[in-house]
Formats: sequence, C-alpha cells, structure tokens
Amino acid sequence: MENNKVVNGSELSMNKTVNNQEGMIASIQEEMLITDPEAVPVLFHPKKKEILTFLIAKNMTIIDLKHATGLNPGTIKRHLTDLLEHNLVFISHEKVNEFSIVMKYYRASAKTFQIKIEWP
Amino acid sequence: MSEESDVKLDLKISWKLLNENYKAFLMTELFAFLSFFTVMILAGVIFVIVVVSIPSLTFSTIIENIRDDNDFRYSIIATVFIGLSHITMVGFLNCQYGLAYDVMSSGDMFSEFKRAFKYFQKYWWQYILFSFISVFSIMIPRRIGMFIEPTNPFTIFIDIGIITAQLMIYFIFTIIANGTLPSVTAQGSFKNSFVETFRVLKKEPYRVLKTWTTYFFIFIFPVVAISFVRMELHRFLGPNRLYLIMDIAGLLLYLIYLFVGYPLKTIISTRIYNSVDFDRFKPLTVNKEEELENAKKLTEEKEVLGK
Repeated sequence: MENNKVVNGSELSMNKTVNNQEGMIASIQEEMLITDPEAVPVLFHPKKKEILTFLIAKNMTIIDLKHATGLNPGTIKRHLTDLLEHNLVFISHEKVNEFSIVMKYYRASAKTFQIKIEWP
Repeated sequence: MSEESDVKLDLKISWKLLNENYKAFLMTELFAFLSFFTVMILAGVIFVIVVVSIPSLTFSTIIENIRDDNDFRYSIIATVFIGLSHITMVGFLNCQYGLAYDVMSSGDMFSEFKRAFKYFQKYWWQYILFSFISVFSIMIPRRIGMFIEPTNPFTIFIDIGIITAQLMIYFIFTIIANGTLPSVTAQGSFKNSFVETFRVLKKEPYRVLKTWTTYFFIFIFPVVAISFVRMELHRFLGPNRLYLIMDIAGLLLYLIYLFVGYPLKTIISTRIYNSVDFDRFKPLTVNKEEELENAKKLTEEKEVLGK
C-alpha cells in the first residue's frame, strides 16, 4: 500500500482525487481499509450496502439512486448522510443541468472495502 | 434561447418539478390551511371574551355591522381577523421558497415537508413581512371600495379603478417578492436580496415581466375577475341565487391558486433566480450549528492527518 492516510478511522490505500468543481469527476481508490468500528454496521446495513454497490459502479444523484433502488429520496438522503459521516462515500462533483437545476453526484470512496479492527 | 421559449420552459419545468415533489408542497399547504383556521378560531375566542366583558355590546349588532360593512370600526375588526389568518397562512406558504430551493439549488433535487419548518425557523420574519404586505395590498383597496355609495353613478368606474390599482400593486409586489425570497434562501441576507432582485430585473426584464404576466393571467386574473363581476352584479341586481354559484367558482379558483399556483410560483422564481447570469452575493453561513459542525470536522481531519 502506498500513500496511506487515515481519515476518521478509515485508512485509504491510494490518494483520493476529490474535486467538487463543476464538471470535474472524482476518481476512486482501489481499496479502503476500515479501522473505525462504528463504520462496520453502516457498511453491512442492507440498504446502505445496496446504495454503496451502485456508487462503486458510477457517480449518481439521489434521484438516480431513487430510480435504481426504488427507495424514497428522503430515505436515500439519510443513508447517504450516514455513509458520508464514515467516509464511505463522498460528493464527487456538482453539475448544473440545462434547466438550471443543481445536481449533486455521490460516489463510493473505494472499489473494495476491507475491515481491520484491533481490540483492545 | 429566445425569451418566449424561456417563459414556456419556466412554466413547463416548474410544473414537472411540482408534480415530482407534490407531497412536500401539498403538506405545506395543508399545514398553512390549518394555521389559518387556528388563528381564526383563536381570534374568534378573543373576540367573544371581549364582547362578553363589555355589557353594552351585543353579538347581533356586531355581526350585522360586519356583514353590511357599513361601520368603519367593525370593518376594521373584520379586516384584522381575516388579515391575521391570511398573514399566518401565506407566511407559512412562503416556506415553499425553501422547498423550491431544496429541489432546484441544494443539489439533492427533492424536498420534504419537515424542511419547511427549518426554513420557517431561519427566515420567519422575511416570510411574515412579505405575507403582511401581500395580504394588505389586496385587502386595503378592497375595503376602500366597500365604502363607496352604491347609488353613485360612477361606482363601476371607481371599482374598475380600484381593481386595476389592486392588480398593479399586486403585480409589482409579485415581481419583488419572487425575486427577493429565492435570493434570501440562497444567500441569507435580506438587504442583498433586494439588490439581487433588481440585478435580475436589469439583466432579463422581458423574461421576468413576460413570465409573471403569463402567471398572472393563468392564476390571479380569474380570481379577481369573478370577484369583480360578482360585486358589480350585486350592486345592480341586488340579492340573487346566482351569487352562490359565483362564490363557489371564486373559491375553487382561489384554491387552485393556493394549491397549484403558489408552489408553482416559488419554483418558477427559484428557476429564474438560478438561470439568470448576474453578479451574485456570496452566501452567508446562516446556520450556526452547520458552521460549528464544519469547523469541528475540519479540526478533526487536521488532527488525524497531523499524526
């Protein structure tokens, strides 16, 4: 692993390119090491896992996720907030469409997640 | 893109967004309606207490005077009653500017009913102020019109004058309110929102005027027209059963305005605010909790990275 860094208990295996400027799409790292015990139940929550699977594949808005999962946008937003809090997803970019609607795109932080918890 | 197609697009896209988020907007409207009746009932209770405590006053004379509108004092009481209820209702309806912001500008592209309370908590006095101006810009000219003698040969012309003045005042108010309230929600400063309203107007005056004129003819003009025809018929024909049909039609048109026109107005105005290219003010961080949370997160990240 190179360029390791720990953010809120999560160890990233590669540098994450996060650019929130319009039109710039973030790239995601191959692997993420989870060292925060609180992130584990979030990762294994069935709905959050489903959302995360979609976000590993591509950048998606809440409305895209609504169509993909059939969940209520409010529910998706709450799941995303949890995932964001544990750095499992991030806001990859924002775009204004032709109808002047701001669209926030989410993306998974890594393609694969590994759990490593040491106790005590 | 021409201005005409922009007007059409404003209405078309706003209608689509309203359909997709109708639940949040509808719940806000129902809550606003509930607040209208609550204030009416509260005002009624206070009124009854006042009447009971003054022995020289009787209910029958008061009700008669309010119905006839022939006593200025009682007319003022009726205006205050209806006015207060409307101010509360429209004040809460203005939270829909916040919901429109959630849909169009927050990046999430949806809104929820509970967000209306958050926006009301943040911008309550701006919403109430605009509600106050809107309600009284309609009610005061109408109340003045009621004191004109029905026998006056120029009554109809005076009425036309009053209605025209009423429509013009309300049109100017609509343009200012629909520029200011989306701007307040987006950048947080009331003072700057006025400046932004005039910047938008300066940048695309035809689009703004055309959009709101079209909106006026669809949603507001029918309500005013039916109320005007009813008032004039009453002056010339006296009591008639036809008025009941006109009253029901008027009420239906008013409900269409409240339930469809009002949320559409908030989405259209937010769309205009977002799509016009003008010099914008930087948003203020209004929510101290959010500010503290962001500061805390930044400190935590710095600490971890510094290890």
